Amino acid sequence: MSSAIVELNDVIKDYPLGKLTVHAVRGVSIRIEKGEFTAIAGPSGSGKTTILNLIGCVDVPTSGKVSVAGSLTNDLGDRALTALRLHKLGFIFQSFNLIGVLNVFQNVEFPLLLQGGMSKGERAKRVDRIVEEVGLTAHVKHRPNELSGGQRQRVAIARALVTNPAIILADEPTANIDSATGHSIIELMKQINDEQKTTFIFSTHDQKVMEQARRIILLKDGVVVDDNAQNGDGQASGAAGEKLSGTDEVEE
Amino acid sequence: MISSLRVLLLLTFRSLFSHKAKSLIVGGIIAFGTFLLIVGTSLLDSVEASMEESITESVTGQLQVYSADARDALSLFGGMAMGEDIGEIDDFAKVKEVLEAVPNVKSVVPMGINNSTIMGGNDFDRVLGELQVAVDTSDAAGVSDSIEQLRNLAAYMASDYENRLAIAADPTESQEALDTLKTVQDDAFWTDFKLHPAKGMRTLETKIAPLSDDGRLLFLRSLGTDLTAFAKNFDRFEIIEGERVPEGKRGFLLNKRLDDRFMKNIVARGFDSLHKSVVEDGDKIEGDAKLEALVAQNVRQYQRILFEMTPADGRALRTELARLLDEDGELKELLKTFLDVDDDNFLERYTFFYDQIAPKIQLHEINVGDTVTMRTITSSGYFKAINIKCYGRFQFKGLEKSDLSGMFNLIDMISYRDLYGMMTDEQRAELSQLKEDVGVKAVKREDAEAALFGGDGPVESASTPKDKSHRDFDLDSRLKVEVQDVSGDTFTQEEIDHGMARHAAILLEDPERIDETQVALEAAIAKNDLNLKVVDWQEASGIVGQFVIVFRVVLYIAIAIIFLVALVIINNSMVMATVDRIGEIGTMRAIGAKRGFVLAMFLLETFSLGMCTGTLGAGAAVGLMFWLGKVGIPATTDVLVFFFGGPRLYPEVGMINILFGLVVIVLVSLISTLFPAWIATRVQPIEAMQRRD
Ligand SMILES: Nc1ncnc2c1ncn2[C@@H]1O[C@H](COP(=O)(O)OP(=O)(O)OP(=O)(O)O)[C@@H](O)[C@H]1O
Ligand SMILES: [Mg+2]
Repeated sequence: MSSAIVELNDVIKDYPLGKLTVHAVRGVSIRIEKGEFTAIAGPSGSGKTTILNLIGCVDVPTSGKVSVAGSLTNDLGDRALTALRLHKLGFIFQSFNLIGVLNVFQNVEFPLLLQGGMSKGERAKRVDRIVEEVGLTAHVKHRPNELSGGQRQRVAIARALVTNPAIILADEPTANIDSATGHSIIELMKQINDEQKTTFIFSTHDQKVMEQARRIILLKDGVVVDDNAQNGDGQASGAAGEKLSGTDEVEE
Repeated sequence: MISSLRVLLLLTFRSLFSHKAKSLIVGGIIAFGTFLLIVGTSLLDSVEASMEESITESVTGQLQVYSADARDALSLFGGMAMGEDIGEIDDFAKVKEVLEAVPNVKSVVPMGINNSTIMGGNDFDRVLGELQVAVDTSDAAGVSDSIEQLRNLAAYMASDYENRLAIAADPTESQEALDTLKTVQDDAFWTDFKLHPAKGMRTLETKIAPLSDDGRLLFLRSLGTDLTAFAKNFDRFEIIEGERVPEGKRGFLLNKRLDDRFMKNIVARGFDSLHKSVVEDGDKIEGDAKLEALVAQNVRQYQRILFEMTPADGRALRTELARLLDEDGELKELLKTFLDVDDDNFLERYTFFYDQIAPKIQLHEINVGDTVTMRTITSSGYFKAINIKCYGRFQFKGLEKSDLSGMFNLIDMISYRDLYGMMTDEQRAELSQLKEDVGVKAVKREDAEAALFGGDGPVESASTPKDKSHRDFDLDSRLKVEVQDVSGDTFTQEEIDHGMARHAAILLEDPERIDETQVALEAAIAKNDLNLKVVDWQEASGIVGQFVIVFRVVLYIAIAIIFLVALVIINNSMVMATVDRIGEIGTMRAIGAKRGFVLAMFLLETFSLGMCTGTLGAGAAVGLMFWLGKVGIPATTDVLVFFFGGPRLYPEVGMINILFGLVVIVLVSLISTLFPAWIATRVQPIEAMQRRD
């Protein structure tokens, strides 16, 4: 497995649902190298969120192995998983999930405070730089509810970035914003990926968004039906894109 | 660590402000709880402190000792009737020596409680005495005054026997009495009296006097003590009439409160009660059944004025009354009209009563300077009587109006011991021999008391006509009790100390150090084999002292209930707030916040809310207490006067009350946050993913 920053091996995830069992992920193996910019695509219910949660260390597989930044999450307890999330991962959520009582600066600063070990000045410098990067310098003192959806997602990106994580996970980061803004958000992520080689993994079922990714892993009913990295074409679109557009998926 | 504390604080204050409803509810409850707690405990502490003063400075001292063999608990205020076995301290001097050597002990005062009776004045006997003097001094005016009074009394007695004749099963006795009385109502008797006064006196004494009432039976409860030491050590004690019993002399002092309540002329007492209700409490007689009854009773008791007055005084009073009432008539009728007071004329008549009537009658059963015969049943069950002088009246400063302070008269220790009548084994043997000789069966103490004190009516038998049981009460003759005249006896400090006491008051230099002193005393007692137990004033005072404990328990229960409710409400609103914040908490957890962080966030939130609103509540409480401490809380009832240590309570709020209040409230709020905080720590980071806002 060597250099892979994320590796899923025969991962199965079942959810008990009353007396039934929902097989959300039914045997998925994925390898993602450091610095990749990957989209996980697929229709609703195909298991995108489940896989991101497994990678994001907020969930553990029913069977199979999930390795994130060199750690096998199966073996870890809540403390270790929390530490892994804090130090190695950054999250961008579909609903932004900013902390409402904190302003932009404080939201971005929050993970640094949780990490500790940084002086106030250093923190401020880092936060300011990243806020500038996402273009929100004018809004540092604003509360989340004073921002637009796109601006909020930029704050979320800044917050995910601020700790210099190895991997940034984004579950449908553009689902709650209009498509133009969504496009610019993905572009921003891509730019950061280019500059800082941060590994990005995001999910989407939006064709256009998907096409911005360099690698697309296509899921259906909990299994990988296409992966352009494995297909060998290093570019988006192609087979995977077509396969998705073939389904009658409608954005919610 | 420090930085995460900073973000914690930030989060705390931000969320306190953004969840206003929750903060307001929880904060309000906390503020109110703190307020209540501080006010409640401060008031109680103040009452306890005041009551402690009332009790310790008037009777108990800070501590009391009594025999460890006692079968009953010492209970100086209430609870202790007669016959409690609190044991005996055989040699007080030894106890005093040992205990006064203990650090912080200022003095040890011997004590014992005695219940005895005295006979109140008998009008007929009194006037007869006056007649004898007038005859002896050939005071013609005096003689005819007394004769007039005696004839009035005889007429009154006759009317009484007539009433009895009507209801008596066996009329012979009443009929005989009536016939005898008729002779003295005849002018012929008195014409003859003037010629042969000696013969007339004999008839009056032997035939008429026995038909009169025995007089009122008065019940005296006295605390026997070293009177000098008592006066020196009990700061609230003050003589208001007469003087202290001179050192080394036998004597007793009347408690003003007790005296006013039970031993004052019944009409005067009626006026006093009315004065309290009408003038002090501002009640109206009209429409108030109790007060109206009181007025009616006073009207019925007119004889208690009429018969206590010399004819000359009566004539003077008649003139004054006619002027006051602006009508003419017989004194008796005028008196009745006078006593029928109403709201408009009450104050005027009250003043008139004390200015014009009181000086002409015997206002109190016992006057300062009188020597009375105290009768009691000794510890060994025998009747004992001593003649003893009343030197003065006293009260306890600030507690003038408290009935509880009027529980005891004071009597010198030596007389107390006489009345207590402890016998040595030798004396006991002698007595049983005597008993056998005379054929008197040993009277059981309880039976004897029942015979002596009758039911429970403490004193009054004002116009109860003479009946069988009353006549039986002629104890001195019936049981051949020898009345010992001790009024002239003297004694030394030695004699006071070297003898028996029932219990002793221990006064401390520094009352604050009561607990450690109690321990030291117990150690000294054990070391010297004194076989005593030490109790604090609260325990020693019995039910009264423990009222505060009861109040405290009630207060704490009330507070506990309030806090239970607060707990539920705080808990509920916090759980609701937690549910509202699941997404936020999940996000924090996903980003990398530990469970401890979430817990700390919740606890800190309530803690800071608790501190802020608790301080507000405490501020309000302190404000209120300061205000109350300035204006005072009036003692509206007798009992309150005692609890408040005076007519008003000036409560103080102690640092300890404030700290206690804050600590308790913060604890309560933290406890009520534990459950919601625990729920919060269980929130999974995955919740962040499902969030829709
Ligand atoms: N906590 C859960 N309990 C039970 N079933 C679950 C749970 N989470 C997901 N599932 C089920 O697992 C399957 C995969 O869900 P998942 O959320 O991963 O799909 P998705 O591709 O993210 O869908 P969408 O595009 O709608 O977000 C679905 O059938 C879903 O109903
Ligand atoms: Mg999903």
